[in-house]
Amino acid sequence: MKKYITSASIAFGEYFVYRLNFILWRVRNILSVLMMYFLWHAVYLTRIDMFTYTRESMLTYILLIIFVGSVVLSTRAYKIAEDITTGNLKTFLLQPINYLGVALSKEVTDKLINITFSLVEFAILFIVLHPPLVLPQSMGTLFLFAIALFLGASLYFEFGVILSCIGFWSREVWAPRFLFYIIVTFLSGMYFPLDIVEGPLGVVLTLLPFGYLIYFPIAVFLERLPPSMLLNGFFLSLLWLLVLSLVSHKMWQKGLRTFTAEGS
Amino acid sequence: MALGRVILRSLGVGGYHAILTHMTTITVSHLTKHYAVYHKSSGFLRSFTSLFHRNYHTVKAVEDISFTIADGDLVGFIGPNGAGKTTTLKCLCGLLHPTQGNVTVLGSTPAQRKSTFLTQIALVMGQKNQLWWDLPAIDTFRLNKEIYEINEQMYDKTLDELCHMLSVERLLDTPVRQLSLGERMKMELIASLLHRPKILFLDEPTIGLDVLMQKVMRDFIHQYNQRFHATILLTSHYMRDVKELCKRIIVIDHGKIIYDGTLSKLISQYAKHKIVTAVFEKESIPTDLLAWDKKAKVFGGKVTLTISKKDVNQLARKLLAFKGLQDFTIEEPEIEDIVRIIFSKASA
Repeated sequence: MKKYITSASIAFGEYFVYRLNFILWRVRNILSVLMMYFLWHAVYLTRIDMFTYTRESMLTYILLIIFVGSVVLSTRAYKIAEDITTGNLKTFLLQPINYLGVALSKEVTDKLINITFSLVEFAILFIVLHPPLVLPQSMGTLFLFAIALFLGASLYFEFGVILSCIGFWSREVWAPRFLFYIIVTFLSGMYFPLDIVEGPLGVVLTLLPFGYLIYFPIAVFLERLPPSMLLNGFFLSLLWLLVLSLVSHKMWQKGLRTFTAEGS
Repeated sequence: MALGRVILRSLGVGGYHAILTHMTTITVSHLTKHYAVYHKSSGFLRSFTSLFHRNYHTVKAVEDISFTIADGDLVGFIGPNGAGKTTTLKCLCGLLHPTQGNVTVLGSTPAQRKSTFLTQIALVMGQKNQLWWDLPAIDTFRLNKEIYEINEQMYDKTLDELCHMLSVERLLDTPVRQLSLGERMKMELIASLLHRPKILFLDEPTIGLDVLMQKVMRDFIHQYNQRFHATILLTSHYMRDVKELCKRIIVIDHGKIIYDGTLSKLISQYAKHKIVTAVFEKESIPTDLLAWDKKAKVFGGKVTLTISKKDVNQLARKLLAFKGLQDFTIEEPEIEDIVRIIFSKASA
């Protein structure tokens, strides 16, 4: 265990070597959320209620994206692809250590740093914007919110591993990742709460795994889901997690057999 | 002492098998490794069609090779670029799964990458590094200490010893990217040796280094082999490395072993010539001497002739009879020349 903690703490040190990169990444996140915030703010100027969302709950939804995004979507899993294509993976394979364990410990470090910063940003925005916030009525909601966040983060990590595994067979890992990111931003609920989509499309969105990254945890926080839908949501995210872990495990094992440590 | 070592190692390796095979550390039998390589044609149209249809061809990197290496040996692995040296090393340390054949290292199958096996080997590649680029080398060392579960006392002792051997004590806190190539290579070696591996695979450890640093590396490798009784398999393009370090060499070309034996035997087997150098007074080189070798090199009063071994005695007698001879030497050809002869024969 200690080896993974040390590896995480070294990753932590490495993180701050490129401070500007990190700061700009955070600025980008805040800017995109602020854009959404002001857009919805303007929409609600003339209305009180829209798509079953009150002005307060919609603006809380948008601001929570900063926090939920930093827990779920901040990732270093794409580094796995880099290690595969550059052959750096070789170093880890020759050591008595589980590479995916190392990747996971770095992922946790990444999230901890991003969460810390997102809380500071959230506080600043709260002071500057004085947004009307909706807070959960019970501690149980916060507990469920934490579980939903954990499931979302795990799902996203598995996605990251699967996308990185493409590196075993193709050098072109950037394009699928880019496409995936577009899909995620659109279908996870980063632009709008998914429950404003009705009909068959709404059902499809519930069945896909992407909604469990952003929309579902926030909906849990806002206490918008009746118990049956809550149960359904947790069940589906667990099912997706199981499926994705199986796929990523198989791909990883298969990939390792074809890994030639090229260029190294 | 030797018995103690065998017992200790056998305990480390995990039992009975190691005791039985204590003399042989590495066994390779009929190892074959093929790769499928994507073949991209040049030109726009062909590049475009490769979107839909790709041509793959099989590269036979290693083809049915067998050898064994005994405990504590320092063996040189030589061959031209693409001969299969690195592929063989990668199979030996478990990075690659053999297409066919068996590899046993320290009683384990390397491709299974068991912890007990991994804690006893190290691979150092001259062209690649494992150090964290942006951080000081000491951070990587600290991480390796945890990865290999080295206790504090042993870690301090080994680190001190290695740093002293390579004189890098003052560089431990410098970020790796600010180190020179030679310094980085020394740090690479330390990072790979902290857990005191019993087998060390060195893939061109002296590549790109200046002659002084090459010598430092060579001396270090020799010392490490002696002090820790480690088995070392070394590949290098610098024949000097091989000549000074390895008694036994394995020559590989086009994925096949074309020679396996001592260096001196290789020289006597392949070197059919000797180099005779004679120095004359006042640049007065006898003309009939030049008839012995039409490609004789003349520089002032010095002449260098490449002579068939059987003619050497006769020429020596003749030389002594010449007036004005100041000095003469008879030498074996350079190892580079011999290897060139071998490779050109193999590819012919």
